Amino acid sequence: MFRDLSFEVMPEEAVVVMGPNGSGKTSLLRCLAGIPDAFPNITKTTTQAYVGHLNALKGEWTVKENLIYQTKTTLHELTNVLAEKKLDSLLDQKVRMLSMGQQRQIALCRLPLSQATLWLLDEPTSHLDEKATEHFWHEVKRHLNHGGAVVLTSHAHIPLSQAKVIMLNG
Amino acid sequence: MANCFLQIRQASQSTIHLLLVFTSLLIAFGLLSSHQSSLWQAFLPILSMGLSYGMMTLSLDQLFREDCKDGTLEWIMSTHKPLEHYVGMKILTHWARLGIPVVGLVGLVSGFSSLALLWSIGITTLTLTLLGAMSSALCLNIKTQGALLPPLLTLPLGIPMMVASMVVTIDSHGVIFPYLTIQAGLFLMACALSFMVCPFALRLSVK
Repeated sequence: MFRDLSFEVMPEEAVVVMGPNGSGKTSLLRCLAGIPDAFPNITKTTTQAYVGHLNALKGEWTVKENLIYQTKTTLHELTNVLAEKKLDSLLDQKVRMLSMGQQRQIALCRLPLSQATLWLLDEPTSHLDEKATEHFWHEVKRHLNHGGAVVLTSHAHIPLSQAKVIMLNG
Repeated sequence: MANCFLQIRQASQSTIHLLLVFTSLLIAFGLLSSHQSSLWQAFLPILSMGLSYGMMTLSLDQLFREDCKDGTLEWIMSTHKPLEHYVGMKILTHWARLGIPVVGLVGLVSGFSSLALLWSIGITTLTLTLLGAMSSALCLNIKTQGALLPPLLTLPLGIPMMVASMVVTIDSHGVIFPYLTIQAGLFLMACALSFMVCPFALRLSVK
C-alpha cells in the first residue's frame, strides 16, 4: 500500500497525514499503532496512545467506568481532566446517552490520562463542535510543549504551524 | 477483577432470556416426570448436557463482535497487551455469566445429590465456552453468519466432552476415572487450542 514512505517523529513534533478518501491515512495510522501487528521496520522508542476512527467506548457503561477501565487512572485524576473540558457532569452517565460529539470528547480524554508520549489520532476532530475543537488543539499544543509528539490524520485545516505534512496520493 | 465485574454487568437481555428458557425447560421436564423419579434420574444428565450446550454456545456469536464493532478490539491491540489476557477474560466472564448459573440451577433441580453431575456440568460448560470462543473468533469477519454458526462449529469438538460427562454422571458409582481423565484431557486441549486460535483469529479480523 505504501512505497518509499519514511519519516521520523521527534519530541515536540506533530505529523499530519493528509490525502483523499481511500488514500490509506487510516491504514498508515493503524500500522503505526501496531494494529494488528507492528511492522518490523517501524521503530518506536516511546509509549503511545491511540484514538481511532471508532471511539472504543462501551455504550452500557458510564463515562467513569469506560475511562477507568481503559486508562487505569484514579477517580481524582479523571475528574480533573473531565472538569477541564467541562464534561465532569457526564461522569456517571451511560455513554449511549451521549451525543456523538460528547462521545468523541470522552474518547479523546484517554490521551492526557494515558500519560503516553506519542499520540496517534485518526480524524480526532470529527463530530466535535467549534469550542470542543478549539479546546482539543489547545490540548495538543500543550502536549507538544511538554515534549510529546502527535501523528494525526485529517481532512480539515490543522492549526499547528510547525506540523510536518505527509500527503498520500491514493 | 474490576474489569471482569464490568464485563459481567454488561449482561445482555439475551443472556437473561437464555437462562429463563433453560430454567423453564428443566422445571417443565421435572414436573412432567415427577411421578416417575427413575425417568427423571435417567434423563436429568442428558437434558442438562443438551441444555448447557445450547446455553453456552447460542450467545457466543456476540462474544467478540461488540468489541470489534465499537473499536475496543482495535484499541486493545494498540496497547500491545497480550491478546491472550483479553481472550481469557472474555471466556471467564462468559462462563461466569452463564456457566455458573447453569451449574447452580442443575444443582437446585437435582437437590445437590450428585457431585459428579455438578462437576461434569461445570467442566463441560467451561470447555464448551473455550471451544465456542474459538469458533466465535473465527467467524468474526463473516457478515451474514447468524447465531447458529458458532454452535454448529463447536458441536463436533464438544460432543466427546458431553459424552464423557454423561458417562461420569450416569455411572458415578462405577469406574469413572478413565472418563475423568478424558474430561481433563479434553479441557486442556480446548484451553490450548482456544488460547492459540482466538488471538490469531482476532488479529486477522481487524486486518
